[in-house]
Amino acid sequence: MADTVIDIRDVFWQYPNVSERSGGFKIENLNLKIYRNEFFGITGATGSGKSTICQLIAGLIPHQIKVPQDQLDKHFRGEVYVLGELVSGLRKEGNSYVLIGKGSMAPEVGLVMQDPESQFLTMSALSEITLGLQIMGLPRDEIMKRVKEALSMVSLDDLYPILDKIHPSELSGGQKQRLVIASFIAMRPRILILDEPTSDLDSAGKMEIIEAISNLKEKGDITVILVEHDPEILKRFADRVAVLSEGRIVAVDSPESIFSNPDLRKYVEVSELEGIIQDDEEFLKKIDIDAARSYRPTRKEEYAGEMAIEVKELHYQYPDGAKALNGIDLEIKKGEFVALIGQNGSGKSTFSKVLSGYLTGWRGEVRIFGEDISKKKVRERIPAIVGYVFQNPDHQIFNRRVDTEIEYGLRNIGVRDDEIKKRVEETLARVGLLRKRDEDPLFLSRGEKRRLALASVIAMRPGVLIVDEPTTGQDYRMSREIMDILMELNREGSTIIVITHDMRLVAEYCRRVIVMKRGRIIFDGKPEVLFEKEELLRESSLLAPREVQLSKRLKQTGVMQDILLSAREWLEFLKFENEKKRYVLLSFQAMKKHSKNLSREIMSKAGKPDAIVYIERGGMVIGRLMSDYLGVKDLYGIRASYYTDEGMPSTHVTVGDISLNIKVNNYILLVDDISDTGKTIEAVIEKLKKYTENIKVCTIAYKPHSVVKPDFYSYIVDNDTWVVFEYEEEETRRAFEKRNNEIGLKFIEETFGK
Amino acid sequence: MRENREGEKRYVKTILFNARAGSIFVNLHPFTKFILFLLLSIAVIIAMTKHYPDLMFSLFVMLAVIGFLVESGTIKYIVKSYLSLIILALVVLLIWWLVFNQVGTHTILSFSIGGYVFRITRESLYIGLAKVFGYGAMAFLTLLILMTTRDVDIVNAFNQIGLPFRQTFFLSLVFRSLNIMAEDLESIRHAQFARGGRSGKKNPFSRAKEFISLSVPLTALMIKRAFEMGQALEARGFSKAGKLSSPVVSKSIGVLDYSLVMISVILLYISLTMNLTLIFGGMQWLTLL
Repeated sequence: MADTVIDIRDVFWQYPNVSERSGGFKIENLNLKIYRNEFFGITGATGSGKSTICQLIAGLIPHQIKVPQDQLDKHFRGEVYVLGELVSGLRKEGNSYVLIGKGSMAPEVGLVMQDPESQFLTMSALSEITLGLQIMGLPRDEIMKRVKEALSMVSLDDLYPILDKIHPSELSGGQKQRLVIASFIAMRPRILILDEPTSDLDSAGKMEIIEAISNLKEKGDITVILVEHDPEILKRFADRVAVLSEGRIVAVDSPESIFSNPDLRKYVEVSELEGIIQDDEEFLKKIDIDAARSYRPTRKEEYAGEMAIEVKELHYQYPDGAKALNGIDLEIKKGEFVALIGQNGSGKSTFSKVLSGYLTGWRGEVRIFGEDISKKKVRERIPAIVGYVFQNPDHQIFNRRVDTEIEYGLRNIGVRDDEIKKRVEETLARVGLLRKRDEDPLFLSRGEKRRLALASVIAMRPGVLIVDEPTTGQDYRMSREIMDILMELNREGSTIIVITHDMRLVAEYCRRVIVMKRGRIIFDGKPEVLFEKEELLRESSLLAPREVQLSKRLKQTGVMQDILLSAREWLEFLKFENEKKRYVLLSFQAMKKHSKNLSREIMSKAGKPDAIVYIERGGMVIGRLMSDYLGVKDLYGIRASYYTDEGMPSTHVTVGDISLNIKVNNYILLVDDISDTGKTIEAVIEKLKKYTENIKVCTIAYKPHSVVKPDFYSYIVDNDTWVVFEYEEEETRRAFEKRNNEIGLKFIEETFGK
Repeated sequence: MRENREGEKRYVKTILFNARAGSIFVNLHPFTKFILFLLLSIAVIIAMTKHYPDLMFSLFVMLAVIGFLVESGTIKYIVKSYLSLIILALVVLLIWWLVFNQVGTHTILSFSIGGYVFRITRESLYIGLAKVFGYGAMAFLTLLILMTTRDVDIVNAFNQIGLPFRQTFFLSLVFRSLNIMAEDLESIRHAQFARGGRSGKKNPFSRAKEFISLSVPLTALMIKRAFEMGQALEARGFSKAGKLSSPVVSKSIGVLDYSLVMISVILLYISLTMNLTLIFGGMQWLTLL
């Protein structure tokens, strides 16, 4: 067994009542051992006691909290040992207890907390990073060496030459977080505690920093404790994970065991896919390729409503000359659900301040529901039209009662008393705070404050709602609650704009993504399109969520037509794959009948083709039948498939060679049995274009999702229907056996007998 | 971070707004600025309070200070934020002086209000203008120093003269807390605006009520921040700090500092011993009025 560096024994902790965090024990009967050089994860719902454990290990609790001496044992019990030293414990002296132990463990233990604002203690970036090193009494050269090294680890090398000129207010939230992390890395602690330290960072930046810390662990003697909600990060980096619930440890195990344990689902943040997919590679191998090829997710695409926001040539320059907005052109229709993303400092916040009417002095044209907001009178009415929900709910609570907090905005915009009363009831019920209407908002839990902040804005019934980082610093369940409310509002007609770093949120909820960089829009489109633009994702430090990455691989190998964006879409697909597949038989007699009818139609509408080309093998029978009915002697077969000769799905359709020894005067008729995805037909058309542009396509069946709509076809089949051709009975049976498709096999048995 | 050009930081954040990095006053040591402030203020006061106030001296100092404001790139903030206020204050000062200091015999203009006769004389106008330029010079000098001094420079300067770290760090924390408070206040004001709290025509009572309501989130946030900052400080081992290393970067007093102090001493000497207006015949210009 490795050396124990942290040993927490039977610890209980309760905050004193003067603190907002009053109540019962925050930590109850905590026993935990963390070993040397371990990467230890802590997860659990918001408010479960994760941060308290971190502060216990760092020696800040109970030493830095004022607890009445005579009640010491009522607030703290147990012992905390770190690096072999007693950090906190109680000793009985007479009838009372005294607190013993070393207390703060700096610099051996570094603690990076969630909010970078409160941890940034000095007035320049350089002094911030050197503060701890100065306290350690290191010489100047050593300090500068460590500063450079630490900055490089958090990818802030570019700031090094100007570090002493940077004021904290010039840094974005993400940069502050990186700098605070660097200031602790520079102290080279033996234990580094990271309490959700990357909440303000974009997805790629988050991964990059934790990877750097993980590498640090690999290189040297450092134990890392990471508090994190994201299972992907914990699975990738942590050796063990502790799950907390209401101040108790409910499990400590490897991340794989934790996240695959159904009994722990209620405590940890897992997507619905987590229980289904243990191993990505194994999962992908089991996908039914035919089902994947024909599946297309259903998504809301059209927004026919009126124009909600029109922005033309919007520019904004800060007084120091820095350009925050550099010619934004944008239109958002009523009812759209838009994500505004981009790296820290890309101009998202400035843009949203313009839209909410707060910022003036910009150039260009901005219209909200047709009204020009550069006019003072329009701007004054904006709060009733554009709602703004802040990232930190503490910034927007102005009253000491929950219900008056909702009333506040309504009174300001002149809503009548009886209507105010009605809306307060309605809104509180909607966000589940009706029973807390008399309480002081300052003493609500973090999730409740967040819901109250949202409620106070939605009660004003704005047509456009801008929500800043709705999921930051919240557990999955809390994030879901907020997003579900936003979805409901969107369904009722509200236009929603979310400013976010959370790519899972973007993929799952937003049908339009706007990516900003240096005050410009560099992408505006659907999330599935964005996730295919590798270069853009890299450039913008964006990382597609796991759900998207999985389906991207299927699309890249030609198995899937669309990227699946969320766990919900994956579940729908898997359900489709397993339960909803329908089968129809196309008998040889029926094919003859269809071919005959189609031939008549072709002759009457297009005349006799110069040649018929059929796609092997499915098109062979129909090709021959058409050749007979149309009296065309020049008949050619061409191979085209998604599969390689080894039967593996490939990235592109492989098209065989063809040589036509004819002169095309009229047209070539391309024949296949069914236009399913249409990709093979499309590829063959490309190949035939060297002979003529006049190519007409004929198939018996046609699925609406096909990229090629045949010029002639007999009937349409649903996208999720598997057409079994009678002459392909054996082939289809073998395919179903290979994929263990029980429903398909049952259909073959019932249709053709065993 | 907002950058004017890629990879290059042209402005530094100061106590008030931003100043051009590398400009003369930004490069000065805070103590030099303090000495300049004292010397020039004394020189201007002496020039203003002479029997024949030295109008040209005050004007020269004011123009020199404006020149430094231009050079440091801070003049635009003055134009946007303070210029109209300063001009208004100086004009009021001049009117007040002319109305209530009935000195001199060469009347330029006279008028009567309610039986009282007011005269504007060549002498009173001269003295009034000298005072306006003098006060203007001092107002602009104060702004120049505030707009070109970084809080971190002040903290480092105190460290340099050997003030204990805890005291200087406390000063730094005060600056930082004010900075956080200003940023929080900005967000809170935006939130209040978004809830319709700052729009429309409202009476002073409603306006005052709005202002007071800002205190609820601000106080709650400051209490929370104070607690967290204390924790963050302890996480760096502040209470166990022994002998600290000196700051990595601190301004040294150089040739530029000495030169400007020397020029200020010369200006003080001039104001004590000479009257530029008399020397250059400035009084005669007034006779043209």
